[in-house]
Amino acid sequence: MPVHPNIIYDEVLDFIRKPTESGFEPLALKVFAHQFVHNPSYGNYCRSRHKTPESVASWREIPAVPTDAFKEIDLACGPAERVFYTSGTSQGRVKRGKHSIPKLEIYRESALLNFSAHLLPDLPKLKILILAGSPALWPESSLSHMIDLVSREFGNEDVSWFMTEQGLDTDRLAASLSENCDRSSPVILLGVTLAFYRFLEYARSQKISFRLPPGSRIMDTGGFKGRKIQISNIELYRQYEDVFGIPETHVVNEYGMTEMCSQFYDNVLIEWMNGTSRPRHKRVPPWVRTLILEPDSLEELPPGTIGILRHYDLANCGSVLALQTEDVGRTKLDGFEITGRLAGSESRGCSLLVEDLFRSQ
Amino acid sequence: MNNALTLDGFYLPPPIKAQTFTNLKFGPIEIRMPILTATTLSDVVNHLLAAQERFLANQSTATLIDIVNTAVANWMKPNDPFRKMAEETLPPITGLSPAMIHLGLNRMLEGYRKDALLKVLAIEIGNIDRLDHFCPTSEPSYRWTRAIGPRITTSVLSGNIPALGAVELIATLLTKSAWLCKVSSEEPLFAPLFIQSLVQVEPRLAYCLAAVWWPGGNPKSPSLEEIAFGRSELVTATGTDEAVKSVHFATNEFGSVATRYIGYGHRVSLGLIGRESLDDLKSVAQRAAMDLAMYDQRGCLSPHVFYVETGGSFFPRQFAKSLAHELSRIEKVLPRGAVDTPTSARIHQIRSVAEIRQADGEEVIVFGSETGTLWTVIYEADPTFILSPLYRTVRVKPITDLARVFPLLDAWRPYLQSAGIAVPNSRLVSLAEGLARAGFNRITAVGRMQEPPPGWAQDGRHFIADRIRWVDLEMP
Repeated sequence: MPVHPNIIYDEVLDFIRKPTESGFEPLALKVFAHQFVHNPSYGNYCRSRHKTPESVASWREIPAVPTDAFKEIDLACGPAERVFYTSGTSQGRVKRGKHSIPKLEIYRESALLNFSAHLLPDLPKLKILILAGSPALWPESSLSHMIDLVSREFGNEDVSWFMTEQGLDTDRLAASLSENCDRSSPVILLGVTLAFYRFLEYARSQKISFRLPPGSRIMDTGGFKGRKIQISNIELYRQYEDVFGIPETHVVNEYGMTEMCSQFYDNVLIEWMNGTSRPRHKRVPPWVRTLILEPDSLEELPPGTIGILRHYDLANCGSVLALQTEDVGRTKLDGFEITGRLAGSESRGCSLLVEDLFRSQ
Repeated sequence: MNNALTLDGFYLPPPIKAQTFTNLKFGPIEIRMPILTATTLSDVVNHLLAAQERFLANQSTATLIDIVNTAVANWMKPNDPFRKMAEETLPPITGLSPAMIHLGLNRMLEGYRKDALLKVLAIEIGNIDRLDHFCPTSEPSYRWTRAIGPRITTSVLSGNIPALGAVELIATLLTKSAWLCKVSSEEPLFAPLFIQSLVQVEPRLAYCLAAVWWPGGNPKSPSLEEIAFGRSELVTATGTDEAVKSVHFATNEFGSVATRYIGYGHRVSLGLIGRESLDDLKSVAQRAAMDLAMYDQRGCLSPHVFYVETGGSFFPRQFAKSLAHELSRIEKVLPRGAVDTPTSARIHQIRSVAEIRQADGEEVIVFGSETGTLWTVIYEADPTFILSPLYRTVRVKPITDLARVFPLLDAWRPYLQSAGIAVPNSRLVSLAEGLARAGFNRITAVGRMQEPPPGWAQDGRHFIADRIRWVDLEMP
């Protein structure tokens, strides 16, 4: 029996704030029933697959929508408070994905709780430096919105955005890093991997490096997404340490996509806090489930086998809960790791956006 | 094959030997590749140059055609050891099914027989004796001409379609050129096998041919590229745009202004079904399905889209359904091979997106193999030309008049390769004219897209004539 959207949204908010292991499935099924009714395109798609709220008994059976579908159809369950777009490709031949968010509060709750759990397990606030475009510069980017939320919530003074219309303002970032080296309290650098890479190149050419205060950290996202840059994560993290003085234990990679309200973060900072050192992997927030599927049959794979990722995100209760990606990975410990290409290149595409900016310089 | 098998993915002219090796793994097969030093490659080039002058340059074209003819005839024998080796090893290396390899080798090679080669040369060179000595032109008292091939041709091969290297090698031999081939790490085996089969027919060819490999990308092996491209008179490259551009760049960098370069980059093909041909729906669908299934759609001649004219005795969507049916039948005799994870993921995305658009009320119908991604036909009213992820995935689009396809292909002009068409003869010439102007360089019947005749104008180039240098002898 469908209920008023606000009731579902409140239930999801409550769950994100106070998740329980046993609570995921019933709520996922409720969200599915809600989306089946309020998202007619999705409802018809489920019907064509003979999956209805009556026939679906487990969250695993909820039909997943391919991330590419966001390029073709508006998959919102109601009027949108905000719309995010993927950035598309430089050839301009590919349509852009569009994710309409009927309830931004859920996005916010998921983003903030997850961010603080993985990047601020030890601190309430810190100084934030951003290597990405502000919402004014990238008004359609979900990443920009997310970083803006985070910086308003957790930034302890003026937040600095170093991406301009002309690209990364390397000189200003270098000056700011220099000032921040003398602080006693840690800082965090947030941004897209390509912008970090750009700064590493700049630092090398200028022969400069920084020793940021102990406890300083990095959150990077996006990787290189099929670009010609070939650098291993090990090498990238070594260069982060050389240039910023931030050790690998404090470099948290984020994996997310425009089509999904929740994000995934590396475990490393939590491990460091706990004095453990389990291998790097992405942690799945309690309001999300991730399955690894055999790429051809789409059957669920045994742990550790490489396949394609499918996410079930309760925070997506305003659009579609179940997302079929093209990202390749495998389960690892209590989460997963991405092993193949990040097909998210097209989904989020922020790195492409940054590179286009560099190109135009 | 029960045990791991190690084979050589290279061929060096005797007595040159490589000192160190690296192994490429393809399932149960390991392929040994030499790690070339600049000195070794330099030696190879010196030997090739000497052997070309000593042997190849002095052979008649007729003799060389006979050698090719015999080698190709051997490959057509089921018990030929090289053929058997190729049939055994190419499936795990390429991912194509054994049945596909078998058929593909036949299709690729059988045309390169004596009669066909003589015809190609006659068309391109006129008098084939010009490849052997000066011959009078139509004004004999005034000017004689002679066609001379490069002393060395270096060919950079791609790995998508096995046996493509044979075609390149045959063209090279017919110009009496020594051959230095850089095999693809995706399929390094066929070229060395074909070289060995030729050497078996004519042992002196052993000194004229080489197949080597080095890590791609121009910054990685500058000294090797300087030797290979710098000392060749002709460089050819097949592969991705990126790979082909990189070879072009290196050829400009290391070659002289006289060094010729022929690049075969990304190409796309498509099919056009006229309304009249829908009268025999089954036949045209069968032929289209074969064009699509061959080499699992990996070649540049493989169609990405079939445009089907409305107003015939069947609807375009009925063609789509019939095409799907034929693909399911072909799967039984010519199974689709292995697919990598990103491609499977892509095909599933495309299928599900089409399904959701269909559910949303758009004019879209999805036909797909019940299990996995073995074949997919998406019928959709949107006429935009869209690239396929290949591996037997195709879109069928209705169009009110085939001539309306030209503006849709504008953006693809540099990439257009073959158009497979099914129209009555009365429409053939005008449609072909439009396709030629749109950028295609081969127009053929649906069902024959994957069977280009020997000497076809690949990417608009002559098979032999673009490789040779004309010499004029002005009579006193």
